Amino acid sequence: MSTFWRHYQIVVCAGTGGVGKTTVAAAIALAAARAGKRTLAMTIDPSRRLAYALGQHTIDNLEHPVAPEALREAGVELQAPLHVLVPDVRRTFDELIERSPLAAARKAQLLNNRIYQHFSSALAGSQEYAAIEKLYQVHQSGHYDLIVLDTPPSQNAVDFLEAPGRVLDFLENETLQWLVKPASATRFPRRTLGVGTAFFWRTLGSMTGGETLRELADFILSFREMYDGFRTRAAQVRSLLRSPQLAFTLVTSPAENQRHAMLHFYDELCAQGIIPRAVMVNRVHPMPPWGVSTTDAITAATRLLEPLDPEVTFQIIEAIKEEWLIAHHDSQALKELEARVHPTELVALPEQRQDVHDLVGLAPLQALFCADRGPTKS
Amino acid sequence: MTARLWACYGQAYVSGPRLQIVTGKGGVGKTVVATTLALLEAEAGHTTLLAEAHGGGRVTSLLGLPASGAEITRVRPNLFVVDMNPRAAIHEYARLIFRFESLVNAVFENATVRRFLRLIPSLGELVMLGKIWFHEQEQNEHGPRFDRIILDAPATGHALAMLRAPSLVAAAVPPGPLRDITRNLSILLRDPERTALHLVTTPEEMPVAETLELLHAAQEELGLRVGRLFINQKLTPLAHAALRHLAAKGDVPLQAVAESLALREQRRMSQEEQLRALPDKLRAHAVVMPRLVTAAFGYEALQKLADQIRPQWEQDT
Repeated sequence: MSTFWRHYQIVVCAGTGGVGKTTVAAAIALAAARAGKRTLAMTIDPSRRLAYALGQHTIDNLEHPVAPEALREAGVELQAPLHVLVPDVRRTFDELIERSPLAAARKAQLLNNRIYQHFSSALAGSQEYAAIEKLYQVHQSGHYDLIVLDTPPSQNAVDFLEAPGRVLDFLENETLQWLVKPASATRFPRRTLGVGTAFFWRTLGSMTGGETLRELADFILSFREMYDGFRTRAAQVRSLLRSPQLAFTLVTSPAENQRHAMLHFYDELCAQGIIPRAVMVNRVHPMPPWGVSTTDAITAATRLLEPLDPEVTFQIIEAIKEEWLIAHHDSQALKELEARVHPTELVALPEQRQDVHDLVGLAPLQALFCADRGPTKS
Repeated sequence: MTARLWACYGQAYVSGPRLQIVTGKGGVGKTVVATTLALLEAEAGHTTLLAEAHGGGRVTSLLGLPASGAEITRVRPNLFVVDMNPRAAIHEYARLIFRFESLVNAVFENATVRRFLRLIPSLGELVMLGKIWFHEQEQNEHGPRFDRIILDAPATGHALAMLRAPSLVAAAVPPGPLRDITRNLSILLRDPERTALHLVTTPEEMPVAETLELLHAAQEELGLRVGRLFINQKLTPLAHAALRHLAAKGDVPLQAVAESLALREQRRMSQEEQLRALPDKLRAHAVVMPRLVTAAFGYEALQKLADQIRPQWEQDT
């Protein structure tokens, strides 16, 4: 069992796709609400699975309580309310613009810009940025004791950490400053680009179409007016990500490629001075409780079944070997990981009998994050 | 449109489609499926290009080879691999347009320009697809350079973003070279004779749910022909009578063995249950890949998988 989350106000679950980040985030949130913490589960997973798993189907950038009926049905009793929030990238950006001190006409112009409308949610890092922005807002609200954030799958942990900075880079980019102020282009030192200004325009223009560049420039120009607000905000958000109230947990599976990817994340975070608080290994196959060696089990099973049907015997023997082998691989993987990530807490989440995709399926998993480890009422 | 696409479903592949895109939820084994498929096609005598999008060299590491990078590399008879990334694809695109390497380098070696290009949304995805389009219609002295192009696409969410990039960009940009690429791509992707989308899933609730989402997006929105469904990590059924016999007649350890095998059967039956959510038509032509238990998944395991699915792949294709 693991109760590391008790010491934090924010838990961020990160990892590559398909390892069960969403499930782990949902299980921690459920355990926390059961233990009396006012909890918010946030997911930016594009397929919104955490929301579905918690019985929430509305995606509108608002905090929704998990339906009490759904909880009762699953036999889960909460000591504090549990909310679910799915940040909407476009709405988060719209809200940022609406809150900005720009003149109303300028705001409307920006919101109506063709590039903005089509791409605000497609910009590199915009999803991560929206999540962190929303995280900051809900944390500031003080409505929750714990916020559990499920991050989008990425190959790179730093992508997430750098999202606030990337939006700043976007606005600060010297090329953009140059591009949006063509009049002052002559003052731009030639050697910054190493090629002539006209050549630069011609090159990009022939690749994208000149009109595209102009629309992009217009968009960036409008956005730049919000720059100061952005800079203050991004600095606050950045410090939140590094605050001692926030814990990173990395989720992985026992599969070799997933472990490898997780360790890459782990090292990246450590290099940034952020030590992950826990590593979750999801879907570990426990050693089969046979009480005898696999060889003995196979011998005994063969003796019993062989006279009946050699083909069926072969199939059963193969299955016995497989069950043992898979558990053996997993336990080796855990040992290796434990040594590698020490002193970070390593939590093994056993493979469940049933597929975990709803509150009922989450119940046994959340018990692993409860101090009492008490079973849920059913 | 859906009816027309379904009509193609399961139809002979003998003369195409040349482009086969592989996608599914994260972690279901897309790269394994794409690589196995490429091995099968290459062994069947088709000159095959296996293109990885944002893969980070997973294909070559599966094959036990050094990373190929962004250059098309021959790795086995009839089999070529390429690890695409947006930056290299944009560079290559510029080279096609300007033809003067030195000019292109002068521009692209500049960090400021590179950063600027990164800011144009969807450009990377679009240009990667553009590269696929280029090789799809590329000819050499014998005819088409490649008989098959297998695209190991990103996971569902990002794959959809990639496949939507042509129409997204077409709607957002004025006429110009970018618009031209989007037109070529839309024609290629929507032609069931030239392109098919293979779906990969594991027999579990959430991957199956994503498969349904993908199927819907492919047919209703993108107008893509759906190729085959690959069901990965399927458990093989065990004889229940034998399990009962073990439990009844065996000693205590054998009873425990019988119990864990019974649990495995329970999981297998829940797998069957999950698969029932998929349309019959899709399931009927599915390629089923058994769960393989190996310490490290490498070339040997791929070859084993290829041998196991060859009959299913060749049937109906």
